[in-house]
Amino acid sequence: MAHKAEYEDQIALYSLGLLEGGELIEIERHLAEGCEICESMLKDSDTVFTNLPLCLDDAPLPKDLEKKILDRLEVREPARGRSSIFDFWRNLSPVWLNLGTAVSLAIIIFLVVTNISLRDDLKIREKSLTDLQAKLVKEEKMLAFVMNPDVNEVELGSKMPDMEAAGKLLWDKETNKGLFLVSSIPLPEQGKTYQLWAIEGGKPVSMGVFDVDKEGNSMMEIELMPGPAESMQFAVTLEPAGGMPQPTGDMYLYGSL
Amino acid sequence: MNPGSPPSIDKDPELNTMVQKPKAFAIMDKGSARSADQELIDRLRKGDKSAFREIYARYSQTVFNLALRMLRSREEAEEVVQEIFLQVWNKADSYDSERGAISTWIVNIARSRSIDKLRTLGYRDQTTELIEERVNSKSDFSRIIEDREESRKIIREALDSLPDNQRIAIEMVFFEGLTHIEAAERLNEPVGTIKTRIRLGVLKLKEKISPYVGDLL
Repeated sequence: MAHKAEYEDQIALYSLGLLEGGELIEIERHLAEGCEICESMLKDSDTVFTNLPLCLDDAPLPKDLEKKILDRLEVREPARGRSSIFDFWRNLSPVWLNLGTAVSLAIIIFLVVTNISLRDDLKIREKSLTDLQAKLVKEEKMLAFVMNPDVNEVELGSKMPDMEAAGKLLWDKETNKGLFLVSSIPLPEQGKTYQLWAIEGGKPVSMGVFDVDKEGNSMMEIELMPGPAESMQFAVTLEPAGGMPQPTGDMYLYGSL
Repeated sequence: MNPGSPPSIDKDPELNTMVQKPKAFAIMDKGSARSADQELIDRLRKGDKSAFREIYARYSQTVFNLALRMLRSREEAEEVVQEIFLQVWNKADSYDSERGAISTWIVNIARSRSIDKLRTLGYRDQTTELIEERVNSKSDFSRIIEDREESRKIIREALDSLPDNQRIAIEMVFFEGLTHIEAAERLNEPVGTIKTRIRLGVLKLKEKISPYVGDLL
């Protein structure tokens, strides 16, 4: 193996464990390839660094240091490569076995509880992920509608006093598919739901019922009749849960083309 | 004698005698040293505490000196020395006498644990993980430890013989636990310059101390 002079400066650093990343990989590869000069330099560096601490003055050793370490050895058994698993069990006293059993049981209980807790946590996170994915799909659809140049837009304004709710209907003239968006509408009381109506020639046709989130927001996909007239109007009323064939409740939002 | 200024080998007749007889410190040949190391580790692996006490007696002073020099706190050094010897006890299986001497292994562990402690204390942020695993030297200061004072003189003499810039660079990376990059920043020198200073310094140190450990290489 050819010696490379550029590695010479690296050897002492390698001996000290200071090389990282590419430099480390490179020098190890070079040494593994059998460069005798670098190998010899490495041994020299190791020799120097092994002996260097000898230049230091002896400081008084802390009192009882050896005892403290020996005490700690009592609870930290060394790894014994040559002992078998049978030796291990044979050497365990009943006290340790009982203690070991108790500790094992405690660990099992802990793991079971932790597992249940983690499963619950996982379910919550899965639900959260599903919600987020659904929201993302909705937002992608909304974005597609907004970006579509063939989309008509109808604004629905509040028909109730002191209510800031607003609605918007985006409607693709080519496909007759639409997207209805509502914001800040009051939460419906128990057993009630909002219903969207398309009104043409004074005749209302249900476009569907929709739920709202806790902020009073909602988005609903709708399909309009082919070729809606220029005079078409839209309204949102509060109806009994499930909706009604004809509007019966108060009108909350209204708009026309 | 002032411990900070060791005698010159050239001027000290006693040391001069030792230079003429470099093997005076070497009490075992390489083969027997290696087998003695292996035997000690084998006993340690079996949980033989007398082997542990032997290792402690042989290396505790040097390891404590090194930890104290690096950490500059007796309290921290004591804690680190405990960790070092616990690691020796628990990781005896990872030592292979064919790869190097026990002393090199233990010094590497000592530096590594001390640097870890420096990092914990916020004095540096780079880990040094490889040094304790890679043991390549067959030199073992335990062979010359029979006379600590004489060993100290020789190593100090060697260190003090270096040009200041080489000595400082080596002391920074070895005793202060800095990386060569940190040393370069501190000295406001290019990293390449620091690398070269360390290499040249190590080369000179090796020349100075090899007569005493040469038969173990």
